[in-house]
Amino acid sequence: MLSEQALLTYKHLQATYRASLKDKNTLLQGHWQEFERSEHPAAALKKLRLFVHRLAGSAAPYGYKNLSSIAREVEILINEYTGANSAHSLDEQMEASIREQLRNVVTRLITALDDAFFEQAPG
Amino acid sequence: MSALPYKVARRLRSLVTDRLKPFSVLLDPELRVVTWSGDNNYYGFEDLNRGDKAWERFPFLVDLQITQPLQLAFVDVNNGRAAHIDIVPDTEYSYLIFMDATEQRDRQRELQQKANELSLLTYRQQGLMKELRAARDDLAVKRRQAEEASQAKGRFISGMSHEFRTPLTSIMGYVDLLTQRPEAWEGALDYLAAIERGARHLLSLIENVLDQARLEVNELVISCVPTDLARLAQDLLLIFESLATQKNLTFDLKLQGELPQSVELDSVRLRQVLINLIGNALKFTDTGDVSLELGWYDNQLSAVIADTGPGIPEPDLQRIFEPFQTISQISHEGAGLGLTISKQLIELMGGELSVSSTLGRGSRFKVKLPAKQLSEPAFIAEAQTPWATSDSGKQKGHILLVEDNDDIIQLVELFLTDAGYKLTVAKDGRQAVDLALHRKPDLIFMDMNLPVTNGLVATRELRNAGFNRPIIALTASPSTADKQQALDAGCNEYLQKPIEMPRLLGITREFLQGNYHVV
Repeated sequence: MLSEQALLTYKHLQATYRASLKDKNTLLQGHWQEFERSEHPAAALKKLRLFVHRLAGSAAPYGYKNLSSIAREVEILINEYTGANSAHSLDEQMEASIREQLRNVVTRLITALDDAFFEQAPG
Repeated sequence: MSALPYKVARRLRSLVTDRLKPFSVLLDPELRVVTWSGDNNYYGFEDLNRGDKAWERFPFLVDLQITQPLQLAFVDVNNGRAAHIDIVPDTEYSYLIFMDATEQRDRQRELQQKANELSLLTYRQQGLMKELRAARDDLAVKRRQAEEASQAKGRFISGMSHEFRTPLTSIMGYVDLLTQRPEAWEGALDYLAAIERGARHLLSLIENVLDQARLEVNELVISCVPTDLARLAQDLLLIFESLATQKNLTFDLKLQGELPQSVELDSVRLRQVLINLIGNALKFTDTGDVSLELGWYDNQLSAVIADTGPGIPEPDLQRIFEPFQTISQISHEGAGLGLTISKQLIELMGGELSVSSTLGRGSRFKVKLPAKQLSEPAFIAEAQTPWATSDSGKQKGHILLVEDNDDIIQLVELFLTDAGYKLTVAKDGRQAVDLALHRKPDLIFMDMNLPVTNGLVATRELRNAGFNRPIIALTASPSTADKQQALDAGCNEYLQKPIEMPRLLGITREFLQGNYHVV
């Protein structure tokens, strides 16, 4: 699909993207901690949502489909959480359950980012 | 002369006898031994007998006519000794007188041997000297070549740093202007265009250097595909017409006879060479015209690029295809590699690139390239392998990408520009509307989730302002409602994120060929 020259550039972009996964992971963990610790989690959640939205869009074209789909899962859960919260006040049990799910998926995403950074670049 | 005293004479005789070991033999007229006296044993004649045939005992007498006194020097005798032999006839009889010359012979032999050794040494020495001179000459040539190569590389590096610095300085200048002086944003589009030009120039320099490096290590692969020559020519006309107009020049495309519909060659590399040659011709020509003449003869493509420029001096013509040459006319801009690469590429494809020039009248570069004529038209063959090469489905068109994620921008830019499209990027909806109305791109890819003004609002604004070219929504949402919302806002199609590049290229081609519903 790409010319020889462009393929070299693609490999270079791919390597740069892979190198950026470490920073992306640090950012993700920062956003997540901010959300967990914040008294008013809405703003932190907005940042987290934007982050995973962008990751979901960019990871797959660079060959990291798994990262894309986990990031998308996080985005959908955040949408559910904020959607449910704005429609009616969530009871504590419900909120705790969604938070727990979110925590699980974010943990998976952190691990997947870590793995992707240390693995060989996808072909 | 008076006689010597007896004692002296005796002493002398004794000395002569001791030193010369005299031995005499009397031979009769039939050359048989009559008698002998002296030291016969010394010369190995212990068994000499009367009546012995002299020519058998003394082989040096064979074929010798004894008519007068004769001296034979250094005659080897039986036991390895040597003697000077005097032959003295006496009436019909003859005397053979042996005098020892063994020591003298050995000394002479030794001297001769030393002389031989000396001449051998002299001979060897001469050989070594010759080798040394050859090695020294070789070294001088190699040193000169290394110096020339080093000078050429030095010129190249200094030229390249200048070449790199010029566009970089311009890019950094405009970026500084835009980041530090908000009032400069009024001319932002022009500055961005200048930045883009600078960046493209840098990219082409780097590509040339990389191509040259690959050619040097034979890593450049020629990949032949079905190619429509007429379409290639039209593409070149599109690329260079506006550049020629800007310089008040005419760029003519002349087709000699009928070109085959489809031929098999490496269209990417041929295009690269023709772009380089036409680009050079336009760069160096200030008045008159530049033309590209294409013809097909005997299964060969002939392409002649002619200009009415200043021409190239004869000495420079000889070196014009050598890398890194500082030819006054050729290398005042660029890496000095374009023509080298072009020639090597054409030769790698089995063709020839030659040049002729007349000072003050212009230059002609001629490409002859053998290629296989195909019976099927090129576009059919291309359609069978839609993603096989970057050249397939190439359509020139200007695309606006509205996207705020740099990671995605880089990839989309790579794929679209590699496929031959021109790309402009806007990072928010507001900028997208301004750029689209000002630049009128042929197609817009619009992300829906954008800062400042989102994609839906921007699309509606564009449609309300009369923008009627295709807009493709980029949406992360798989929900039908979101997609419908994008279509309702005025998008013609939507592309689900994450973007699949083949799909992006496919949709681009489809829409630029006009296969879409007019809004």
